[in-house]
Order: sequence, then structure tokens, then C-alpha cells
Amino acid sequence: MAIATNTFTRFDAIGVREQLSNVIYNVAPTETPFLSNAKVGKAKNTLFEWQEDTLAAAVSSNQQLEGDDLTSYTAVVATVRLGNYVEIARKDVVISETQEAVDSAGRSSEMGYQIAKLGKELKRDMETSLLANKAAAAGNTTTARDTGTFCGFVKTNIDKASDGTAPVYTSIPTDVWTNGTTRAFTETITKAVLKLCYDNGANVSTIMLGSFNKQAFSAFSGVVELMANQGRAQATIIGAANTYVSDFGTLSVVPNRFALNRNAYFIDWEQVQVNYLRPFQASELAKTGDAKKRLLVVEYGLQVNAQKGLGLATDLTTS
Amino acid sequence: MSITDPRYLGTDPLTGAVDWFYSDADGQNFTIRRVEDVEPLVEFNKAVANKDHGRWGDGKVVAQFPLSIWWENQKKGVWADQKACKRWHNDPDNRVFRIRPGRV
Repeated sequence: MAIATNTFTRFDAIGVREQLSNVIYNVAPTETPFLSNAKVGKAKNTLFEWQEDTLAAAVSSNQQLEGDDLTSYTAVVATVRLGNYVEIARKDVVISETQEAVDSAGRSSEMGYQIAKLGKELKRDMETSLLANKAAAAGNTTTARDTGTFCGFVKTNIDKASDGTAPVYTSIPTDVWTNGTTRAFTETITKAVLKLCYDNGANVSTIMLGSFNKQAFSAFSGVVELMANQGRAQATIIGAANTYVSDFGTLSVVPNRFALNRNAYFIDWEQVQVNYLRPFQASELAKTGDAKKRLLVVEYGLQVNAQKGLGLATDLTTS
Repeated sequence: MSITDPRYLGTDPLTGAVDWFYSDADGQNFTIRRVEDVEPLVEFNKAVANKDHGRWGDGKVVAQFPLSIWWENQKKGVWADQKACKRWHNDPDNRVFRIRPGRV
């Protein structure tokens, strides 16, 4: 039996900004699962900010007297102001006029094809950047701005090697992880992070893994038993999604080849949002010769609504 | 509007899915078609599902399916809703993606 899964979607237009963004979003969305699933928002400046609020810890000593009067009041705890920068990513293409003029009967437009291809490449760069271990930076005239990443934000629900260090920040994630000695990814690590997430109110629905640790996951979950003799199926299995029934609900385990292999990302999709100062735009550049030039640009940054809603297992073996 | 012959756009090495590019004659509209052969996965699932899995309990992998199906259900909100998620897993139509029998 062969089931062909075809995503057959038709889009209109090259060059109209909003439509182009939709087109690019929908080019191979499963290759960039983080970017494709994160909520989409708007940034109004190169630095965008939001507020994070938390509830007071639950106590068992909240029993009061009948008719009691209040003589003092609890101070309101101010919300935490968080922020991040947007970064610019781009791709360019030059097509000779001859190439565009060649009789295109039965052949697609070279420029349309190139835009689709560059859009795909650009999304892969964005996915890699959003999941990398890098710090947010304001940039200047000689250094490009950097957006803080998933790894840079998450500092509570973590499982790391004893010699690894979590990033330290208060409002903008300008620090990075100091890598520790790698160790094997195990079910114990998975359960430890899931428990932390649950205790801190996260509603994790997806665990995202690089290819090596997706394989490791298959081993500890028992799926690997038959893999050795499956030949052609092996790659397909690593590239498939799994449903893992945990103590805290049913989760999807998804491979992501642009994620850092040393990390396992525990995601509550309500907490991650990609904000665009400039959505995908294809601009025609000034003509300086016998060719058409296009520039595909996007300016975006990551917003993590509540970092306690996410989890990270790091310092995992990568080979 | 006539659609052009397909052009190869790329292969995802992780899933083996191949993307094909089509456009209309004037190049103003285009279509991306993704083709993924899931037969090896279905065959593997069958083999695993027929094994003796021992006792049911938490911490088990119950299904394995192509990323494109994960994506479709993610967009529909199926995974975020535990009831809908269980319904999908218990639906006989999705039995080919189960690697552990029994109700989720």
C-alpha cells in the first residue's frame, strides 16, 4: 500500500507583501516546525517589549477569622518587563533577461521559482536562528542586530549537565548557555523536564528534537526494537512524528533538523510568538544591467510570553 | 490558465518528502506540491503493533505518523485538545499509524 501525502495549495501573487508572506509560510511548513507553528505577531520597533506576570505561590495557611478586619495590605508585585530585538534576514537573486525571455511554454517562470526556493531557504535560516544558542544584541552600524532565541529565554524548566550554565538575564536575553559535558538523552531526562514544566504551569504539547536524539528517543521508547532490520524504513521513522503518552498528558515528539542536536525543546505553543517588523517582502532592485534583481527580506524577532511555559533539556549527546 | 511542467524544488532528507514547483504560464501564480511515500512507515508500524507490548501505562509511544499529518492536526488544534487528540488516535481510520494497540 502506498499513501501519497500531497499538499496541493495554490497561491496568488508574487510581490504583494501579505500574500507573499502566506506563500512563503506555506512552502514546506513541516521542514520548519517551530517557525511554522509559533504564533505570528507584529513588532512596532527594533526592540519590542511585553509584560510577564506570575501568580503568588499557593499556600495551605490561608484560613481567616470570621469578621476579621484588614490592618495591612499585601503589596502588588510589579509585572516583569521583557523584551527582544528583531533581526534582518535576506536572500537575493539575479536572473538574466534572456533567461526570463526564453519561451516558457510548459516551463515555469524562473523568477517565481527562485522566489519559492529562496523563501524556503530563508525560512530554514530563521528556524536555525530561533533555536540556536545565541544572545539578543541591539547591534550598531557595524554589527547586525540579533534576536534572542528559545534557548536564551528558557531558564527555569531545564535539565542540564552539572558543568553547564543557564543564561542569566532579567528583561532581554543577552546571555547564552555555557555548554556542559554531553550525556545521553534518556526517558529520565524527559520525565524530569516534563515534571518541572507541569509544576510551573506549562502545558507542553510538543517535544522537538534533532535527528540524533529523535533516534535516541526511539530507543528509550521501545520503538527501536525492530529498526535494525527495517532498512529503508529507518530514515522514514526518524523523520516521523510520534505520540508519547506521558504522566502529564499526550505529547507529540517531532524531529527538526534545524534544531540544535544537543537540545530537546519542550514547547507550549501558546508561549512562543514570532513578531514581524517587516514580513517577507520581495523587492525589485534598481536595474544596472541586462538582468532582473530581487531581494527577499524579512525582519523578525522571538517573543516568549512566559518562559516557565517552556522547557529545555540540554547538553545531550550529538553523535 | 495552463499549468507548467513541474520543477524539482527540493527534498527533505529527514522525511524523504519531495517538493515540486508549478506555475501558470505568465508566472504570476504558483503551486507547491509535496509528495511523501509513507509505505515504509506504515509497514513498520504494522510490524511493531503486532508485537507483544506488555503492560499499558504512561511513558509509552502509541503512534507514529508522517510530519505532514502532525502539521495538519496541529493547524486544526487536535493536539492541543486532549479529547480531540485521543479521538484521533482511537479512530479506526488512523489505525495504520498506531504502533501500540488499545485505547489512548
